[in-house]
Amino acid sequence: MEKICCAQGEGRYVYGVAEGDKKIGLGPIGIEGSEVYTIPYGDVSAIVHDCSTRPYQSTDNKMVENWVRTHQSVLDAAGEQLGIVIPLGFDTILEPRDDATSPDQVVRDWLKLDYARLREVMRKIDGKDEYAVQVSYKQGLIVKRISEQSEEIRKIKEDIAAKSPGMAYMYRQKLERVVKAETERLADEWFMDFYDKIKKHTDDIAVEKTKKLNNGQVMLLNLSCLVAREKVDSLGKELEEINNLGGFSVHFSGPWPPYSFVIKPVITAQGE
Amino acid sequence: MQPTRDTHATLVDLLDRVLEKGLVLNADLIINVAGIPLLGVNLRAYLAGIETMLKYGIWQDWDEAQRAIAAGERQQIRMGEPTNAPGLEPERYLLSPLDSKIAEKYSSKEEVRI
Repeated sequence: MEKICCAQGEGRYVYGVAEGDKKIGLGPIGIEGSEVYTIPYGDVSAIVHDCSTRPYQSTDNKMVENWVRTHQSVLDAAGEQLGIVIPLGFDTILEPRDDATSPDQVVRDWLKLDYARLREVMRKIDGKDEYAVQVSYKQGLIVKRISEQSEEIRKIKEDIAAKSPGMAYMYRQKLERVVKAETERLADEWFMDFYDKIKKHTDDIAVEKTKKLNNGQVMLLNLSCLVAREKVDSLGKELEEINNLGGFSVHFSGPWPPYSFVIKPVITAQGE
Repeated sequence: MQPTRDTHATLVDLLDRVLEKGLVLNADLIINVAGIPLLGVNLRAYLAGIETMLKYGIWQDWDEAQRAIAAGERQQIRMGEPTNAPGLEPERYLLSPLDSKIAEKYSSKEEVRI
């Protein structure tokens, strides 16, 4: 049921989990200027701020954007100070218990419960960052290239020129189908080719859904890459080569905390 | 080629990650809204869960039973591989309590992205 109550300061907004066994203050760098600090359990610490038990919600996109940017900047600051940081998604708020347990203790109990998994995730992401890689191609250019190269398409075009308007219409439909099939075939080839080239430089890779682009571009692949710091340059060189092929453009962003490589759910005895 | 962290060029990358990904916690530890656990809130996947229901005709009335379905679907989405994570267009990211207005808005939408 929806919570009516929203006791101030009882919840703990968790940005991430870092290495470290001391309670450290990171200053008023949190969402809406909240004081961010760590709550340690053993050698791991949750990065938190005190909040009400009402989650951050707004229909104002700008406000949400600011919150999200702040969430990210806290993780950046924590990474600089504390080293390995496991990122949590936006608006993860630990709920106070009904009993007299302090909110900080709720956080410690959680760290204790998930300690083994948290250490395992830290081992996996140590010395690595996430990068977003998207490769797109210019639709027009590809259609032109296909049209020039395909014997079948050249033949259909000749047929169109020679036919009556009615028949020409049928042939144009056929042409469209052939071009589409050929584009898809080529896109599959490129996908595999680029994927293999990029994968070589990564420690882990996740294929994301492609997005619709405007400006005549088609997104061919959208990847999240977990990359060891010493391999970022070589990945950059590989992407440079793809970017220089002609007709393709590469978007390369990062370093991000490894959001895409820590999302395996934590299953506990009480898990749903 | 150098990776960028330019704030304008990377907003979509940032939203995709902060709103849809990150470590997932056990549902009974975290704040719930209207019976739906906020696993790193992820309203985008949350709304996509509703779209899934619309696609399969599950949507009748927005009652407690369906909230439970939504919670289940969100859970599956969150637990699935990254490739399964549905993404709505960035301009549609919207954080607000689930209510009949949202239901109306999204039930009239033609495109269903799963």
